[in-house]
Amino acid sequence: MKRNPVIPLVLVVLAAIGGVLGTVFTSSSPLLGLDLQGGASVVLRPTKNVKPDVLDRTIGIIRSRVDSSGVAEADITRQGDSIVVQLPGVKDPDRILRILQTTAELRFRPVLGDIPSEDELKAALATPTTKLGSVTKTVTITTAPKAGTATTKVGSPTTGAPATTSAASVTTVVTATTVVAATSIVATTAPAAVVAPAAGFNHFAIGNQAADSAAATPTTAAPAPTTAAASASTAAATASTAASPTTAAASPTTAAGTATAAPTTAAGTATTAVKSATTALASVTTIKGSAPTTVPAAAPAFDLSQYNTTSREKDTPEAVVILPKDKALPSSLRLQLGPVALTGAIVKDATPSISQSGSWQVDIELNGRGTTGFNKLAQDNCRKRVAIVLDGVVVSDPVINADQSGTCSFPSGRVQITGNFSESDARGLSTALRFGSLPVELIPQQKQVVSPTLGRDSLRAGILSGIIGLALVALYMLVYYRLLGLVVVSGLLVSVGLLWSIVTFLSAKQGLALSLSGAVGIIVSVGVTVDSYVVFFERIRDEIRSGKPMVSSVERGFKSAWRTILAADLTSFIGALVLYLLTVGSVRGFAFFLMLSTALDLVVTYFFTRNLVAILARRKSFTGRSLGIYNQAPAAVAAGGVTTGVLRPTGTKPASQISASTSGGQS
Amino acid sequence: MSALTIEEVSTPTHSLWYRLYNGETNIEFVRRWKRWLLISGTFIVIGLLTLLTAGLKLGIDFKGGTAWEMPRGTLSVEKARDVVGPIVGRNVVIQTVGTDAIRIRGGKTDGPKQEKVAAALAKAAGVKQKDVSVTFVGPSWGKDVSNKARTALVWFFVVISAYIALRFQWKMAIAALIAVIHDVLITVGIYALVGKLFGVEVTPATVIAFLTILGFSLYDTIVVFDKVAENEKTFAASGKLAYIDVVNLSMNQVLMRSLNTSFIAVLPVLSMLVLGAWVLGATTIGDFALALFIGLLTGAYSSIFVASPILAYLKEREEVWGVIRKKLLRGGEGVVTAEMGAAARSNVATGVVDAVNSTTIFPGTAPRGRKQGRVR
Repeated sequence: MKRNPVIPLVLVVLAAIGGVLGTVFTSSSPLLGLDLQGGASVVLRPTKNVKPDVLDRTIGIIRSRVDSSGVAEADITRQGDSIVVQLPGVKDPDRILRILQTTAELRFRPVLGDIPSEDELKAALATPTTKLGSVTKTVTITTAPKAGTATTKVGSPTTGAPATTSAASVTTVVTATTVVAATSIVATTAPAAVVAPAAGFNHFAIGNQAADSAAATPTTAAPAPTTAAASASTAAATASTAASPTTAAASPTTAAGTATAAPTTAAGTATTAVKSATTALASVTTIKGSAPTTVPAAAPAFDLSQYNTTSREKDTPEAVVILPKDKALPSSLRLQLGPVALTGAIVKDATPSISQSGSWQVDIELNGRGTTGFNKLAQDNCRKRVAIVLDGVVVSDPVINADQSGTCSFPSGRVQITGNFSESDARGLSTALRFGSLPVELIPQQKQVVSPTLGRDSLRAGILSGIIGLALVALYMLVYYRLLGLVVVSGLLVSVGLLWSIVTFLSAKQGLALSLSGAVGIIVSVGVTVDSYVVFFERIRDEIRSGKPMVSSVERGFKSAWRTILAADLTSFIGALVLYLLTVGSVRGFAFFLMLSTALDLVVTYFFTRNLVAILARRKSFTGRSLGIYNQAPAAVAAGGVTTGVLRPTGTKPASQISASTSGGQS
Repeated sequence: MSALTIEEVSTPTHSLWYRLYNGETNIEFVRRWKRWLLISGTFIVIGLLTLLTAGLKLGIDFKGGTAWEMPRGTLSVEKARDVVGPIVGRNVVIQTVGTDAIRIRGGKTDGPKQEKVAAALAKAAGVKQKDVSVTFVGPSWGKDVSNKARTALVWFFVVISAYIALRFQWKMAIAALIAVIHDVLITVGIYALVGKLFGVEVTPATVIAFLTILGFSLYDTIVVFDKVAENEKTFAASGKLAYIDVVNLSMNQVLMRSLNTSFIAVLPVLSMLVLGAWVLGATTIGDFALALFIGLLTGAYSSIFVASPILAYLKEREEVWGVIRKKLLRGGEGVVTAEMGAAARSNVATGVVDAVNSTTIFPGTAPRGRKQGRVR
């Protein structure tokens, strides 16, 4: 009664105008679904039932594939047990869909060496001497804690591993260096993890010399690891263990004896090095000092691009590539890898199991041809690392260990990857080995490629018919309700403004895309929205006809109309919600926009329409006639539209009862 | 017949439009239930018979398959068949869409074949391959979509009925649901019919539109029932009108609103249908619009002509209303009918008091003599 109708009215209008201006200034507009701008969508479903987490992992892989193929605004969601991939605006949908559908192969590549992260390389290049030191330092620090904890254990796996192998004559142990999750790298993987910075740095220092150079020229290789180990000064103890696999891998020509000898010296150097960080820095200079022998040019001469991570297009089987390790691992870890030696086709089965020592491991069974191939790979890379690459990511790079006889052979076709795996690491790795990149086989259920022309046509048709439809509605309302028709038109404008702002905002924040079905939902909701006005105005007319003055007619009319509108909108909303929750694809989009505009309808009716009409009702010129009412009851005629607060009959007298109820029905 | 005469008595000088506009109509919505039943029944029976004999013509989204849609370019329907034939066979459906597009729907094809067809078509029509839209649906997907839609439909009914029962009365929920089921039957029937006659297919867009219709029909019924609930309160207390007349009165009061709303809802849909689908050749929009158009009409019809008589029928069996009815049937000064209501209102407006007395007739219980007695 005493509420001021102006304030909420102004606020709603300002919100609508502000929202629209906001989108104009940021020059943003709602994202369009692929059926409106062209693009592709595919619904993929696993061939058999899988657990939700497996599906989520699959989605992760698909997402990284889509991202790496350069598609912007891709939308990948899980709906029920299906994966819905939407690629609006994609130019070459066929290529992308092919990438998604092919289960990328699992590749075995020999590891040539470690590469620092691109950031570190750039930083190092900027100011060679000092930054080089800091590179070494930061890298060492990040790995140090893990390495530190690993120290005690390291001795046993490295030396112990062959022992176990000899016990089980069929199996040769491959020591894993990295696994899916970073946390689990610790024990057995520690050697490599620690080696990584050192060797990586070493690599960097000797420039574009092939990774094998270490093996090929033992003389240069020898100082390198040692100094590298020293440079890893902050983790002195680790350094000793660090050295062992590297040297073992780096100098296959030297016997095991040399390999064990090397760490001792390395450890020695490291212990002295640890005393001051400056010594470590000095050793960095040592490397730099030794560098000129192989790479004459100073640091700035390095061509950084050769250390770039290989792009998906260039990641061919024949190429020497640089690929990152699994994302869960420190980003500085990348590996330079040789041509593909084998593919996942060699794997017959891979299962996680618990070893005698109680830790998780992965048992691989190779098929006949695989056994031959793998043996060749193992012998070529004996005591070196072999990377298992999936989708351009190194998921594991175990060292191939030799058995007692010093050879790396796997005659039975059984291979074990051990490491400090958690259960999920082991499972992840074995799924990867079994299925290639996707943990499940996916079959396209529905595929849609919408050409940009068709999308544009639909958009144009939608917009045009929407505008014409709205115009017709507005025209009809003006003719029917006269002055109040203007309220409908302005109310519709406010609704459109708010809807536009909200959809634009959700597009930017949530990636909501306006699809064709969504647009239809909005067009349909015009009916529901305008109906709220109709219900309200009909009530007002009822009140006026029964002889109420204008102001109270509006108030009472709104009160009873609001009840109806709320009930009806809620029905519409609940229905849309059920559809939204239980369906997939375009029905969902439709339901969402229907819900949105129904909710908006309530807001606009309550804050805008009601108040605007209340303000209008105060004007003397605004009478029943401006609403097209000519059969006004005498009471109103007598009152002359003056606010005398005529109360409705309370229903005690039959006669007035009938007239009251039949003439519009009071609540 | 009788309604008209009575209207003439009460407002003899006004046109139908005037009476509609001012809520002064006096149409016998409830008592004419047999007529409405006949109309609905005819539609439903024809529809169901077609459905049983011919079934629905399902689009590829439900039965699996591949469709290509592209600008027509230099391609004719026959030429398109020649192009597609060697790759996926000649047993494909080829249609022109709008003025300058062509659509080819064929059997189940794998990825490479889809591209091959797209490339061949593009070459033959002289357009770029990226202008060819391809839709492929696996065989089990359609089943899945239908299952999901069915589940959603069941839940939709359950939740909405619960809401109406809580918000209004369970009898209203039943009446509203029967009205919606009526709409479902009519729409499905019409789709079976136009599918058989004109080859119109059921697509996901149709299903969406269909679900909208359910919502809209319910929405419409709710608005009508809200008025009934409001009038019911008044008359249950006073005992001046039988329930059947309360409903009838409410119907007449909200008639203009119902017509307005349906008309307003149909306007944009019609614009989509005519402009979007026929002129601009946007097939999906056309699918939406057609189903919406059919559904909006039956939805508006059913809230007035199906839901209300059922509600009156259910409620007349309640004790309160039974007592009122008996009292009114006994005759006497307290008899007030819808006709009288309208007359009373018009009298208030004109200042002339001219009570019209007529007896009340209830569905199924009306003695023949009385009904005849009503006709003047």
